[in-house]
Amino acid sequence: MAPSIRIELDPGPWREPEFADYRVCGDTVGGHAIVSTLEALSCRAVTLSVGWHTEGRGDRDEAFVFEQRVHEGELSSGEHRFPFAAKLSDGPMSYAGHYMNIIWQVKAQIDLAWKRDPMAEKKFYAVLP
Amino acid sequence: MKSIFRPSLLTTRARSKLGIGCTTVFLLVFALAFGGFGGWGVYQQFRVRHFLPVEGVVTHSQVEVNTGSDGTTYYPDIHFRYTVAGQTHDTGRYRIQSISSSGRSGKQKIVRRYPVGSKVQAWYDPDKPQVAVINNSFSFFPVIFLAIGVIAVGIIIGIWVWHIKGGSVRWMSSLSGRQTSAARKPHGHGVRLRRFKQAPYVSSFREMAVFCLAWNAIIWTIALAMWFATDENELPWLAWLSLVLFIAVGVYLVVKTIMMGMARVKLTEPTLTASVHPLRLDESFQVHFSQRAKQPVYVERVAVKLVCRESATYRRGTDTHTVTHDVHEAEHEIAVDIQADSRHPIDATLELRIPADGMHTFHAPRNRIDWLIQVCTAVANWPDYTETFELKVDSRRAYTT
Repeated sequence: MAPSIRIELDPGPWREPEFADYRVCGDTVGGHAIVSTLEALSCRAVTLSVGWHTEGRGDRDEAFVFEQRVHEGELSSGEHRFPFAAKLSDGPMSYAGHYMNIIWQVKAQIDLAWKRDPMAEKKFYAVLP
Repeated sequence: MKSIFRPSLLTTRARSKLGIGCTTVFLLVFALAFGGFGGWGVYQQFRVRHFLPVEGVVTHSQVEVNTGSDGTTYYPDIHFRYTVAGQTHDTGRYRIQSISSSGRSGKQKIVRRYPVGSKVQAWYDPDKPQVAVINNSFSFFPVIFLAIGVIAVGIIIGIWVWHIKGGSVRWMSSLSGRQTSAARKPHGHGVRLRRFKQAPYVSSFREMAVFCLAWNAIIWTIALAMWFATDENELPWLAWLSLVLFIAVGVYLVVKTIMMGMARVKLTEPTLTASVHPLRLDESFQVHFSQRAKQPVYVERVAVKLVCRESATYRRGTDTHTVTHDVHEAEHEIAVDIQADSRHPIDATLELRIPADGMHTFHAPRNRIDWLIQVCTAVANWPDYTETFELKVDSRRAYTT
């Protein structure tokens, strides 16, 4: 059975549940990428990245503020937690417009040889201080 | 834990030079191919004008068919026999250059006009008597090819002039996201705002004039070629309709260019200075507008519009499209009913505010958010003078230190 991967963010600067996914531009966004596997597997890499991309009518633009290979090689069966902490750039802030949206997200991916790479994405909102 | 590091192998200047070099090579090959073919064809056409008359007899007359990957084309393959200075030649042909094109019926008309055995009035080259043609009229098809080659050379020159002026390096820097962070000028020091030059809008008079000239040069060359070539080619009505549409756009561009030119006859380019720049969200700033009149004019109104504009660019096949949408517009009238002349310019100051819930300036290769100030000076009984200036709004709030 294929391994699963999910992302949990550390609590943000606001306590209200509706602002749980809000972060401030220029601050740090941290959390864990959690990989669960029923059997031991050999992977090329587990990669974490934090960045923004555009969606909408225009073709995609994207940029990364953080990329890290957090693991290489064998993963034993069970759950593995890989922490990360990425400093956000001063901009752009998240945006929902007419032709364009700017979306920030954390992305985690397991690079497996000759198999589909499991991937997880966690979107968050970057706002100005 | 390893981190993924992607070093930049080339500096911005080196990358821009490499890109321009590759573009130049490609366009040069293009220009040589089209210009060479077109130039040779035009030269041949002018040579034919000096041929001498001779009578000939048609020996072969049929429509030749060329089937290729891009479709089927036809040309009238006509040979005739003639005698010059006691020597008989069988090398006469219909035109000096045999160009295949679509439209079989036009070629069949020509072939029917010159059946085998018929006598024809032909023209031969006095320097090479073995070369003779029936049709010595001027064909504009080689002119089109030559024009394309000349345009390609013009583009190469334009790109290098732009590169020498440093435009390519600034453009590459903006693509990589590295924007020069201008130090904010505090209140009291006016910062002169720059004209907005971002495609797809042609904002300056010079750009509009060049674009209008290029557009009409290409369209009218094609129109003339199609008009003079219709005796050999029957073009479908859709081709003519498309041409009419392109001509209509050309006429609109000419009218617009003339109106922009007229506006510049009476007024100079306006200057706009901001009390603070770059700006921040929720920040107020003062804008000072100044424009001189070259001759006495009556200005009905001067309007200033603060605009936040989204631009999104996408590709569909080989076509690139850009759509825009103004997400914020706020118009203000800053002057009305003014008598201006060269000694009394139009001067006005206005306070504007970047909204707190607005978006800061954002530039990416395919998506942009720009803050602009559009200025319109309306002169009585005369085309309006419009200009657009760009503002930079940082990703910070006004009260942030």
